[in-house]
Amino acid sequence: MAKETTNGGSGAQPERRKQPKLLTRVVKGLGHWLGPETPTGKAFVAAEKGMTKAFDKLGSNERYLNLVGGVLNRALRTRKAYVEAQENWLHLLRLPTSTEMDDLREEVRDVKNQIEALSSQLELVVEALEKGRREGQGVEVGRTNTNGSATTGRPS
Amino acid sequence: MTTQSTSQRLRSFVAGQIELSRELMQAAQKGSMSPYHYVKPFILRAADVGEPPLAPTPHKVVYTNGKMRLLRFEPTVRKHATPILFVYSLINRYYILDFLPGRSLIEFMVGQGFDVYAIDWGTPGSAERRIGWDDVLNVLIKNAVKWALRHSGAKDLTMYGYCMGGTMALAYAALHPQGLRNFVAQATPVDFHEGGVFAEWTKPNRFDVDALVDAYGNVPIELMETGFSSMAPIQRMTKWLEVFRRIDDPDFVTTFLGMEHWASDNVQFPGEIYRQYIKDCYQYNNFCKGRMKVAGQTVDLSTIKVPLLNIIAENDTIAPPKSSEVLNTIVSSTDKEIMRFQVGHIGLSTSSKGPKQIWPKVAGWIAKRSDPWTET
Repeated sequence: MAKETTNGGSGAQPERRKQPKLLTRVVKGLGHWLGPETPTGKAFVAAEKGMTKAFDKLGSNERYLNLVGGVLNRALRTRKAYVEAQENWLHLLRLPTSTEMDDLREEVRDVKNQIEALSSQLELVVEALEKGRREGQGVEVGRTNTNGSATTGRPS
Repeated sequence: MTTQSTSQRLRSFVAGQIELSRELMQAAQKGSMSPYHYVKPFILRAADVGEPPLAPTPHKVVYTNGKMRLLRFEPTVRKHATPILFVYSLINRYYILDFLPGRSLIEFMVGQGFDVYAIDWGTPGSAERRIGWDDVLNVLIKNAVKWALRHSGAKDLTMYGYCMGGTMALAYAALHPQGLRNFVAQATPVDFHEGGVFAEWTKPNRFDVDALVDAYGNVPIELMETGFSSMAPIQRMTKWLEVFRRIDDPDFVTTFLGMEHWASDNVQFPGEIYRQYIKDCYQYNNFCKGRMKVAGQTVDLSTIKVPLLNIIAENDTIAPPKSSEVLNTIVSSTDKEIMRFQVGHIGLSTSSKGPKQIWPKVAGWIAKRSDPWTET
């Protein structure tokens, strides 16, 4: 089940570490160039902080949130109307609609759950029958053992 | 010899470029919004590491219902008779609880001798559109509890809810207390009006959840991704610079990629569950106020009496501490405790502090309230 870890040392690693690949050097260089210890990086971090602050401010601005919410809601309602029109059209053509498919799926799920509940009840019945059978056997053994055996005959 | 090796190198270079282009094209075709799918191929090659070994703990599937699977993680040496059942959120996938070797909460608990079970909700599709809280609580979680108890041979278990999974598990515990020995809520939002930015974004006048569910059925992955990336849009891009800088640290790169893999592994949110979740939790706070109804029954958290551990991440922006800590004042449990850790929402399950500082305390709390295992 556990997957094999491929990170870490293979035989070729020390060789590669001495001379990193071009891609590794480019990636590291980019990270270093925009890192907090270089002048470019310091400027980048300052810009990042500024932008984060601006986005945070925007994200908590009531007017902006109402505006975005309004646009989103309009888009969703338009899509809802489109879906309804599509369903009406399919209905006219006597083709199954998405809602009807969902109804069908729900019924199938209900049937599955019902089967599961029934099988659980059946298991209980089988267990009870099994217990009863064992008890019956125990009594039989007990009866046999009264003729001299040391077994108590109590069902397990 | 040199010509051959040069031509081999050239061939391998071209093959590598073709493979790289193919991976990028695939990501673009899928319409992935997360930078992970586009940056990962470069990082894997630059760092010379493989795919992160996620979900490393061996397990068996002991029960399935639709897309849902109940997984069993059996310990080699069982010390506790009371099993643990993890209930994870419907957002993203369960394997954040079984992250990487040595950084897996499930692996840790199994190592402590617990018989561990976890619900994997799978990847919901159109068949799950109509699934509601009733199905989740009264069918799926209920059956998961039943099968976990049956397989472990125990009479009760510790329910361990995480994030929205904690909210669902609390609702379950309020409706079906039988079979529960202890309850652990990790980064679980309860008072949703203290729910940070999500509470702001989903106010009834701003977010028509009915229109969304009626229009799409399930909540589309793109919308979920947009929501998450809007929380910290700049950091979503600039955090990659840290992995660029530490490209020659394979452990860091693997952990980072594992985290990003999980974060970008979004799934559709089943529509009807989402509708009630947004209304009863974020918009009207009915869950916290004891007014939420599931299949005609009221979810009243004050009926919870089992020992409760509430784990809070102090830097959590998804389930802010204020939103979680109220739980201990609502439940009727006499044995209740809050544990606080200086990590973020996900850090509770993935940070390096987990196996050293967080999980031993949590495991100790559960062990103290579990029956010891006796071989029969």
